[in-house]
Amino acid sequence: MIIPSPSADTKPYWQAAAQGALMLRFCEACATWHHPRHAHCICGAPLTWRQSGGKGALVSFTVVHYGLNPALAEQVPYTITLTRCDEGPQILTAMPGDHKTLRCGMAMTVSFDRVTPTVTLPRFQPAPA
Amino acid sequence: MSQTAAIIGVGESDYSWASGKTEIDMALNAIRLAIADAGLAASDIDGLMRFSFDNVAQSSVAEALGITEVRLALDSASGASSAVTLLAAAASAIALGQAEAIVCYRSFNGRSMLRLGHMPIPPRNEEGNVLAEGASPFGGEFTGPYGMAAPSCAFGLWAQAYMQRHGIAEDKMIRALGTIVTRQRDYATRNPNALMRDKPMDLDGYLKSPMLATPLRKADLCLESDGACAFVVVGKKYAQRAKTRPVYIWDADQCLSPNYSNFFFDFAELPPRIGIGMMDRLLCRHKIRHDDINVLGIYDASSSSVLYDLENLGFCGFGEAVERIADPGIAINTSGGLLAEVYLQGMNLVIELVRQLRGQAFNQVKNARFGALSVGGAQAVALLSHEVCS
Ligand SMILES: [Zn+2]
Repeated sequence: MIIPSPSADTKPYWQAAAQGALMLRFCEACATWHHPRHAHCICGAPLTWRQSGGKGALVSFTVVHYGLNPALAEQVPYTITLTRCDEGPQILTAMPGDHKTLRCGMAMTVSFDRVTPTVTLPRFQPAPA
Repeated sequence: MSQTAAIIGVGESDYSWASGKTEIDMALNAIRLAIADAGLAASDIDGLMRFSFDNVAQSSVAEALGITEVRLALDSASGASSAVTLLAAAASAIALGQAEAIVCYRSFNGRSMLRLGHMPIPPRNEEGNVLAEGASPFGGEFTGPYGMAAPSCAFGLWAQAYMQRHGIAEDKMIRALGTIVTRQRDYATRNPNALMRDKPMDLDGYLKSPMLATPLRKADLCLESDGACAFVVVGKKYAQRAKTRPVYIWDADQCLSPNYSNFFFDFAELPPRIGIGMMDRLLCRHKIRHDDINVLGIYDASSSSVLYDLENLGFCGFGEAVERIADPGIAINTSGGLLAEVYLQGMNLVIELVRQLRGQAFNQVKNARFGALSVGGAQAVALLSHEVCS
């Protein structure tokens, strides 16, 4: 299993995930949303954490069939998805299995997968119709 | 930019899967061959340029070749666009009189040492889990836990979005990709230094290549390989008395996209529309048209890159490359490219354009007059010709 090893700066993202919340970064100065990897806005202001509604649209996906390293060889096939949150930032997650019937643009919603007692991964999946 | 700077020497190490050599040994091998090809002596070289992430320092090269004074040593920080950056920087330096004979090189044990196509395995914790940390697009904390392990996965995302955006059916996309792969594999069979020289592939063989990240197969991804390339750029003085037919650097341009180096897939549109209009402006400056270009080198990190670059560079409309590729009217990656010759990040494509414009290529295009290069996903382009730029 590959699990995130947060920095002091990104810890709140994973702590929130364990509580069932998807966090994004937000600039209070210019009211813009940012990907969680960013600590500062392009305006220079430090970003704060703000909860996302957890909904978005599928930008693209790819089904990975080939284990690119031993840790991943146990997991194939899996489907990597890129979802544009309604707030704007694009979040990459994955679903176990081959989901070749996904369609770009489809509505997605986040869920939370507790992969170890201490690690929870946000995962986007198709929103129920 | 100098209109008289020319490439007069090229050199390649043997390309291999496991060189058994150090990167400096391979670099020196390629550089010595390039200097000899140029008809120069090592003592004539007064400039050395490389990719910023090359492990072979200019000072080490100079020392090994007995160059006592290097007037100009320079690194390109343009990542996958560096082959063009170096061409342009060398031509500019020649024009400014900063140097008279510049060697540009790239040496990379990209299979036996650092495989970019495979996420390296970071340490496991006590529970046996692999820890993904940092902001890397491949194997970082926001990507590694989801199996985003290598550029191939990002190219899969790009390709699915491309098909969707243009309404391209999967079988049509596969046919286009298969055409690119099989053609370059065929070119490679006549290139004695190409790593896939003994591995021709027909469409059936292509369809049997294992699926990596849909719709891309293993055969759609560039090689992981060991080797080195070098070329020598000079001004008028040396070009006029060169043993070889000089290949002039007519022009170059680039537009660095930060996301290309950072979060590779986080573009507003996939595949990213990069360098739109850049090639048109470049060609316009010289009153030539896309049709005048006889041979093209495209940084084929994936076969699909060829499609996107043709569109971004204006060789055809958006979404049209899947059809255009059947008969593109232009020879592309005639050495086998990064898919079938070697993965030297576009430097081998420069060498192939020089061979073509000298009339000495393994898959020679008749009367090749203009060659163009597109690297880094159309972030950087260059125009070369055996004719002096008028
Ligand atoms: Zn701001």
